[in-house]
Amino acid sequence: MTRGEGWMMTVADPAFRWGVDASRVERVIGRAEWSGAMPVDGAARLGGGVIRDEATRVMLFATETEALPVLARGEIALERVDGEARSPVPELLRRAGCSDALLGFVFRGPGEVTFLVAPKLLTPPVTSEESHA
Amino acid sequence: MGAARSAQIELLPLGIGPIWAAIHAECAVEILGRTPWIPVPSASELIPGVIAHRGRAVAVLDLGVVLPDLPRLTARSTRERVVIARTSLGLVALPVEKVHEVVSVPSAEVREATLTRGSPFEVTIDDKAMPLVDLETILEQRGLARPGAG
Repeated sequence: MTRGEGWMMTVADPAFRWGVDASRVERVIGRAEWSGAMPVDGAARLGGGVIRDEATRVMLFATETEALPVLARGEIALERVDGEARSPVPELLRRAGCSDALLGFVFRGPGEVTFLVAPKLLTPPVTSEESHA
Repeated sequence: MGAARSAQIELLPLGIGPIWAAIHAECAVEILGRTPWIPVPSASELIPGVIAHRGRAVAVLDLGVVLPDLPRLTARSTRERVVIARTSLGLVALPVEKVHEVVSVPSAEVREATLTRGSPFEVTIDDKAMPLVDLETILEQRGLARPGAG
């Protein structure tokens, strides 16, 4: 077993709740503390729109080369997830064009879901709007 | 009665508001009660989200995109019934308001659509003309079907 297996780090973004495999997260720091490359706005990349909000943090993900910074807007929590609770993206939804960065769903209750995200697939070019966020 | 005249098809009429449409009953797997659907960011108009069904995500298909007389699904709107139907790409969820019992009609009563919109074919059930929706055809027309399926 790898460290963090079964654990998900979730972000209660105002647009929707999303989460990542916690074992991929190296660090979470305040937005002001980050001075590296422009962070990817994860929720915006998934189609949630750009929300200007100063109260954001940066999640740093391990990649083969350098740390990938992703903006996390909203409360961050560490949650244990039963493997059975994870549902893959239906093939039809995938074929109809939903983001490749969406890996699946964790249903939390009626109408409540966490979108499981692959951070490294959130990385097309940064938009000018994001560069001012 | 000859063999051709006796051929019957089983249809499942679905109602949204005052409008009815029919699907082939053999596609229907289950009929759920009021079940919220979840919009998925970046999803398409036709397949705008999912519902949770037996712990798995099932793609929602908005019939309002296909049939112009039907209202579209709106985010967080919940309809009274959800029909789970089988396609070559897995299950789809059809949020509707009413589900009629399965009706057996002579196949000869399926005709080219002249009274309804959105489907090339229609049928009259209980004096109501309604489009006959073929889910596989919808997927093919939208370029979603798996090659060779159908």
